[in-house]
Amino acid sequence: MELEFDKEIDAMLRKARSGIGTGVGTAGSAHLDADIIAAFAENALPQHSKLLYMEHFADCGRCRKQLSQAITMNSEADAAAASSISAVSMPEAEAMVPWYEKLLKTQDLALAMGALLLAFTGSIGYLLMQGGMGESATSVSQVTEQDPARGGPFFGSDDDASNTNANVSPMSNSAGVALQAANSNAVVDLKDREADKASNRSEPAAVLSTTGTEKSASGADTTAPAMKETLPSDAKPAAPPPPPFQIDGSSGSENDFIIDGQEAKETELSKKRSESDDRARYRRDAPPAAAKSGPARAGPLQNQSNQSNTFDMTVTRNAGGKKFNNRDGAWYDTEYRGQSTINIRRGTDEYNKLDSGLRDIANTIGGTVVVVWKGKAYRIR
Amino acid sequence: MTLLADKYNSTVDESVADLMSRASESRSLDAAAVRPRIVAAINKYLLIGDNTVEKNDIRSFIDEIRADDLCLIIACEQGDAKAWENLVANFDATVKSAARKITSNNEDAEDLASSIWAELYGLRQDAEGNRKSKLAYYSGRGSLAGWLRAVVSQLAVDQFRKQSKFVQIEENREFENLVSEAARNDNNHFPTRDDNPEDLFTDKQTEADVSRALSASIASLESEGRLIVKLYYFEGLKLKDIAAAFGYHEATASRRLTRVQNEIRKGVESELCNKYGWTESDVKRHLSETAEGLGLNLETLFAVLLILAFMQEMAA
Repeated sequence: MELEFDKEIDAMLRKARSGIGTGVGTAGSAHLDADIIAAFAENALPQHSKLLYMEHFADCGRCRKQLSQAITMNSEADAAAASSISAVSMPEAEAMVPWYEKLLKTQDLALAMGALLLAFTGSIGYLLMQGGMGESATSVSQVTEQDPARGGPFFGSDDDASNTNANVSPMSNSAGVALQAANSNAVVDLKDREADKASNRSEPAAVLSTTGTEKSASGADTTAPAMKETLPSDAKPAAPPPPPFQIDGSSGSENDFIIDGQEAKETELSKKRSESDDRARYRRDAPPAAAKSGPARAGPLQNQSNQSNTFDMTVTRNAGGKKFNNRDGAWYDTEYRGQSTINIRRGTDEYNKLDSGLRDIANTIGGTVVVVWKGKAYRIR
Repeated sequence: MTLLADKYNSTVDESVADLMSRASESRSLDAAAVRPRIVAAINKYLLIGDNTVEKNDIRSFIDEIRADDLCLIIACEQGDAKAWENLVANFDATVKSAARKITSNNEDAEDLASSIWAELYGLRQDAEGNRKSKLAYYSGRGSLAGWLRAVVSQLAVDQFRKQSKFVQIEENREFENLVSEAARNDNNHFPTRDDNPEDLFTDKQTEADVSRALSASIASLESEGRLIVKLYYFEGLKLKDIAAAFGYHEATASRRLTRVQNEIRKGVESELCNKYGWTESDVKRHLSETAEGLGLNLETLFAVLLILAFMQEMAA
């Protein structure tokens, strides 16, 4: 026999399960209205009624469900309101979005990848350029590194083989480079240096001994910086003044360029009275004065040891078996020592009367050229 | 429930006058229009359960009523068109947002929001021709936005219950079909070790004992602890939100929950030992096994939730 579904019993059981009848008096037969739920969720009920309705919420699943929804929605609304307020007050709130979320957006991802590609390509290009510049710099250095080997950076004469390595012989080429690049931080063994001087000098008496050498001889200072040896003692190591020319009127001799400051002063003082005319000519014909700073400060020879960038700035040309250094737009024969010059312009009769070898040199070099030819100095423009 | 005695009339009048003066926009309402709603709220919330009140209680109660929201609702109820415009303009977003949170899709949310506004406007009329609107139930104790959210929630539940009646019938038939099919195929069923009748009976008996002990223990709690436990464990609310509803600090809510857990443990252990004859070792072993199983499940669930949260963050 099939029993019929008893709706009354079912309703009574549902009512018992949902806790109806166990709540407060007024709500005993009904669920709580929205006003009670909303006020309870906001803790806006008086304490007495709050306790009573709490009893109902604890036992009535339906009302508790609505209460929990109301509490959740209030919390979310408060959070949304707070975020909107912060967004209004802080326009940069957009920046608070995590970077990876922005990155993973399709458009931003494409931009990010493009930027990465550009950065990668740029870095590779930069490295390649660096490599190329390194090679070119090396080649320039190699050209100028030959100078110390031939005549050393402290003596400009290269036609006198006896003058080579006169003052820096113990130093290898690389050490010389390091010395010049590091601007007077290298250490020179002065004893060896003195020995080399003795062995290489063709006219030892004419060479002015340095203060450092004297100290070396007395054993007082064997580790003095190399630059001190080549500079006047009162000169500042960081930027010493360019060495003066010896104005003795002699040409082609190895020692017409003074390296020691004190000795140079003494020499100059001793010759000051007797060679005033030469000095005047020197002022007139000497290469332009060195700048107070910068690479041009090294003087006409340009390969002064106290210039950290001497190698980079040195430009030399060879013509007619002579070597010319460029300074301030003029080419100076490395044999030129500041003596008076004969000024000649190209295309003039005087120019045409010059030796063909001299003209060839002038034509080959071009521009203003100062050439020492047969003991005389010519300034050809 | 007792009604407000006449001796409090002067107090009510003074407080209502203060309320009207507090309202930034009274919408051309006077104290006489608001007073009945105030008195109804006093009867509903202050005098419930034969509570005795003092004049100060009445004053503070009325002082805590939201004057602007109440005036807006009363004006709407009285057919003020401008008030209606303001209500819709200021709270339509609130209603739709609540509807979207409750329903599963935007279409249902739009329908629910429309139903809410219809209910608020009052499409039905009573015997005297007056519109029956839900606006009459707003007391002003809570915020208008919160009340609207609660209205949305209630209406959604009502609609769900109406729909679920049909679903219930279908489910019952489906269940009956499954039972019949199982009965027909009973001969093809091979018992396994897990289907050992003795083990099944023991497990069921154990679960039944624990379930009853747990229910009894929860039922023995005070209403506050009971509600905290149910909101936290059954409704899934956060402690912070529960604390806000109860007027606690979050740390206070946490301490209360811990205290309630201890009470429940004591109640369960006592119930199982005294009423169902369990030994203390049985109780400890069973609770330990339950905790271990729950912990394992929670670890797996936590890992899955972490992965899902990370995927959602990445997809957002």
